[in-house]
Amino acid sequence: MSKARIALVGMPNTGKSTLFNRLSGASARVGNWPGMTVELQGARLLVGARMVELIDLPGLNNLHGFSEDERIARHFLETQPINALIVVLNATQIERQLAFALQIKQLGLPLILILNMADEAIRRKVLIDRDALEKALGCPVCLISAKYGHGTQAVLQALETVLHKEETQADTASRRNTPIDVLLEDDVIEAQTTALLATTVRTPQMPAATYTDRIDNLLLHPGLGIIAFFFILLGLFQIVYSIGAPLQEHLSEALEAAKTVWIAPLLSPLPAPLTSFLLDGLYDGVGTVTTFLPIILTFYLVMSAVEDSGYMARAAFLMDALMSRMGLDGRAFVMQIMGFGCNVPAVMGTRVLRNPLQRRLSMLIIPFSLCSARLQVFLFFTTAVFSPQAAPWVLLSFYVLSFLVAFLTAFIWRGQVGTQEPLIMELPPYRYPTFTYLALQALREAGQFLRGAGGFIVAGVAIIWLLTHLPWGVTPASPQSLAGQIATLTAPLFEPLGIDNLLSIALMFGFVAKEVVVGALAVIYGAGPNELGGVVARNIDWRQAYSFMLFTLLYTPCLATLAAIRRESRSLRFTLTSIAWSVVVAWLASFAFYQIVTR
Amino acid sequence: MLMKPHDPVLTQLDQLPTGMIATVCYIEAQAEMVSRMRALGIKPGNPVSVVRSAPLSGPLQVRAGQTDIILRRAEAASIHVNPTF
Ligand SMILES: Nc1nc2c(ncn2[C@@H]2O[C@H](COP(=O)(O)OP(=O)(O)OP(=O)(O)O)[C@@H](O)[C@H]2O)c(=O)[nH]1
Ligand SMILES: [Mg+2]
Repeated sequence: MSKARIALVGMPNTGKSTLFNRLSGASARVGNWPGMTVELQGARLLVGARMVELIDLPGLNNLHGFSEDERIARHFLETQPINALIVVLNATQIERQLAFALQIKQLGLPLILILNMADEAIRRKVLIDRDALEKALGCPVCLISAKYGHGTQAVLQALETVLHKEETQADTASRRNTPIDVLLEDDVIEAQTTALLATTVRTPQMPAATYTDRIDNLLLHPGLGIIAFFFILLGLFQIVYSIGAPLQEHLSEALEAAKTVWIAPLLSPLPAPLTSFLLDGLYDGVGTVTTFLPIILTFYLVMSAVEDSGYMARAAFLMDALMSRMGLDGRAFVMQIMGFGCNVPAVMGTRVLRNPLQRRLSMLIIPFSLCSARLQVFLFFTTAVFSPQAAPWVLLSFYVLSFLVAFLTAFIWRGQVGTQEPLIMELPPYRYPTFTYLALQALREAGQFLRGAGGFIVAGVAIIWLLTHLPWGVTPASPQSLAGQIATLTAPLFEPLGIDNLLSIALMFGFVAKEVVVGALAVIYGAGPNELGGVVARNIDWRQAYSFMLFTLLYTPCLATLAAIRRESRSLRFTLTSIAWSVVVAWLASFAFYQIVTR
Repeated sequence: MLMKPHDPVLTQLDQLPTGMIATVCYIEAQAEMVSRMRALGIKPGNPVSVVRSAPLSGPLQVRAGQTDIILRRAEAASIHVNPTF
């Protein structure tokens, strides 16, 4: 039996990725935000005895979409051989979404129609006659709740039936790859939809007030809404701080203890340079970075909860007025927040913007979004150098600065955009984030963080150890070492910023990935996970620390983000402009800060 | 032309008072925009209402059937509606 390929299609935010995860056990990103999925993702599963490749597509508004994510879905449908389609609709909104299913039906592929979010449909008193719909459409129709796993078994059965039928029908090739443009959104479909709805669906005239409406009365209130926004932001960091920080402390104590009790004695028979490399290089460097893992994990947990709640769309609504004055719209603001996790998915998330120039402007400001890797650096410095009372406020100041610089950048470059594209998007209801899913998501993101940066971290600390210890015999990290010599060369650039020789070495490695920075400091200062804070505090004052953090916040985030910008903008020139802009802004900001506070 | 007092009075969606229900009459926009609005449930014959508007002349929250939509005022102005009393 040949392998079958099945794609999930539907309008944005209907639960395609949720169903994809349910059916295949994969962990595609899910979020209560239209345009969460912006690229193809595949997974294998066994249906009956047949191997199926299931593809999750970005949402389509209709078959005439022109944003980048829609183009990707459309291109896939037009060019790839597909054995069957699973069309996912939001059952509550069947009145407007059924036309989409009928359009898809014109492609002539075997079809399964999924009416998802049955739980919400019941609550909203939307009644659907599934059997009648099935008969009228001539394809299996399943009423399910992908999020809670209700009805997914029926989907698998329907898949098996459809695949069996598809295989026994001899010639299916002719039905593949219909160019979508010939399927016009004609009045015939409109008439069909209306007739079908009249006999199969009953919706209440005007929806009753829901809990979403009540929450929004506060969160979208013209004045209170903005205040609520800041409190939500503050609350998030409070959670991350109060859960993550103690965990980090325990972990660093444990790693330090393991080093002195077990690892050092174990390595003592080895020659001195090798011991130093393994212990002062790899163990201290990688160990220090590892201690931040609990914080990163908590952070991602909280971020996915926000993404899954539906608040992102509210943020877009509240901030659109401000963003429109900078040539952008509310969605660009949401990308800034998504960038808190990692800048790469945020850069890719700009695919929902149709105007390519507006997309570029959005990509120009995303690198200023304070990602979790930079958060690590800031947590380290704020706890090491500032008092426990001051530390959270110092951290908050960087989030504020991150937005200010992003806004200022957009404001300066807004002239490049020309006419703005219209903003029109769904405002989904609030949805409860489910804990198991959140935990999975957080683990996955933290895992990606490790896999993505892991190689860089190990290689980075190894190279730094070499640079600080060679030529062999010099005092580590002294001006005579290789690192010291390099730092002397760059000193004229960094000294006016208060960033001394040793720190500038860490910054150079931070260009590759910010995750390396703290590990690099551990190796440079020759301190273990639990001592580093104290050593740094003895060596630099708060002004230098703040200036260093300011530079870290603003200069190029990492190679991965640059690669994403290059890929998405398809322009080397734009990528170089973006690098130059952020480095210059970083230098000027640190310079201005340090010169003013040391006056 | 004389208007009888109970004649329907057309207005644009951005002018519609918050909370008042109206019926969409026609949309004066480019074909692509019209089809995107239709996909979200804003099309002639369907009921719409404005739930709230964002401060500083920000976008509107528009309700069309079971769907809530974020829409800027400029686009809302292209939607001509017939308020029902
Ligand atoms: N109440 C309820 N919520 C659901 C259900 N299925 C999915 N959701 C939620 O709906 C939101 C959207 O889910 P996704 O799976 O990301 O939707 P998608 O179709 O992949 O969205 P795009 O990738 O943006 O096109 C998430 O917040 C899900 O948790 C369901 O059966 N019931
Ligand atoms: Mg998705």
